[in-house]
Amino acid sequence: MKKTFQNPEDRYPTQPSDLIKEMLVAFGIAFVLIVGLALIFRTPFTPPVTIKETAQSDPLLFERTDMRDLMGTSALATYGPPYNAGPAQQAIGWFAPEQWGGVTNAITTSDLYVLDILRAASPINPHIIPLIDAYTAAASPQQQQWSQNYYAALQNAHVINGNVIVPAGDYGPVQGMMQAMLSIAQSGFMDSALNRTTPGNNGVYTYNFSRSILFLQGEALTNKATAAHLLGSDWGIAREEGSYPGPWWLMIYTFLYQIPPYSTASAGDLLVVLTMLGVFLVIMLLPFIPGLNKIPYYIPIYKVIWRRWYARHEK
Amino acid sequence: MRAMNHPLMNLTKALRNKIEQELPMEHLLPDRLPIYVSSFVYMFGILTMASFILVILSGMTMAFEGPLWYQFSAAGAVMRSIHFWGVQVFFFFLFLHFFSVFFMAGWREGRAATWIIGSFLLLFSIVEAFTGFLTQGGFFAQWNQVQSKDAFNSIGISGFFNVLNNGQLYGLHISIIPAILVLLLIIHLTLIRQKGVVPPIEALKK
Repeated sequence: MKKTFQNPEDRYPTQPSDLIKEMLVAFGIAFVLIVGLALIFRTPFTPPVTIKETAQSDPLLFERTDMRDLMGTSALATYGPPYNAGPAQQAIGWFAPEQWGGVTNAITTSDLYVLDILRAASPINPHIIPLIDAYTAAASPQQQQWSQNYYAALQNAHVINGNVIVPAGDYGPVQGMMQAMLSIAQSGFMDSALNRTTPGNNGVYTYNFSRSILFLQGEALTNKATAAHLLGSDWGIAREEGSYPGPWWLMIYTFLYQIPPYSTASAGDLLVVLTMLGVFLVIMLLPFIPGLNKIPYYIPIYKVIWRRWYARHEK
Repeated sequence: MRAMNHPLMNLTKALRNKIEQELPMEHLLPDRLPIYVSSFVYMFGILTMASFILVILSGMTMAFEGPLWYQFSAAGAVMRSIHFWGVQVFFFFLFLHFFSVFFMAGWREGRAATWIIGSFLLLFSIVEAFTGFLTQGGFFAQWNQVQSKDAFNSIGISGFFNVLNNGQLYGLHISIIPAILVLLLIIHLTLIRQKGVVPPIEALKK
């Protein structure tokens, strides 16, 4: 009744071997190599960027960023799903999974990065309250006018003792709001307030920094990344800081971002993801793909690997 | 009680019989291998696994001591460096293993499942390293979080997997994906021992 099973290895002549000893030798080689590299080269570490540090080191950059969020012209404000309603930026005709995913992390930038922060700080600084009241009571065109005036004035602004000084103009309450926002951000209150109100963060478990990182994603992080040659057009994530090796195994992925149509199409990210899915399927199903599964037969590397076997059998 | 003798009536016995039949101990831990197994390329897989073990051990130490330790203490920085370079060495050997198995057409004669499991090991290793690079806690991680979010947003899964959520990345990196990798590795090794080392191309014709 018992089926006789023959292990494929039993069909060939054998020689002594010791897999456990090989494993120990390999472990020794890997240990010396890895610990040696670690002790010689160490690892890079640049501390994270915070809103507090950004507002302190470059008050103008902070106010420009916050004004774009107030006016609704920042990249985040016009992103579409998953942050806000509106058309998905990534779509190939009707194929728009970004749209299908829906608004899952809803963000209204003017509320989240300006008005809600001011409201949260108003019990500590009651002078903020009339500013918010004046702004919210005004009609939308008036709000936009004040904001545009102030945003334009930032181009001619000066920083004195960490404060932004703009030429006199018709800014309504916006100038006062931005003065308040700047001091709130410089104190570190804005980082904390954003992370405290992020859904999922609760009490001692504050792990989700989406909201503060999305605020910083524009000018603040981009300027730093440009200086460190870490832009997507510089092979993005496949590069590490300085001369350290990065995740070079992602090079196929980041290579796609360097060439058309991926580098030029508005749905570039979606095209890259779909292509990488295709690449994985090809690798996974390689044994069954006619032509590709014959490549090893035509490139006789196998004859080098098994040269002793072939030498023995050609005698 | 006769029914208990039927193989399907005692699942424990059925499993034992299956293992004894398809993967006897002398094939699981062989002290003899076919004579064609004599090339340094056979070390690539073992070296990949050895590096993997070192990455796991350094990672477990880091998880035990916590991020403040590995970012701001001298001893922690050494362990972080071992973890970082361990991953570099791991991928170096992994790709040598991948290409050597490809040029040996290692999927031949019933070994396609071993190759497919291996391709998933490659995929999950990349995801594991990706979540690791994004949980470094520094500027590099922040920058690549905001850069890579667009790819995940483009396929509409950010409500399910949010690369900007450090808690989710950390959980995936230190628990879920390593567990998947270890499980896939056990299956991969079991299949290799069950099917035996792939013979040279056209070996039986000669």
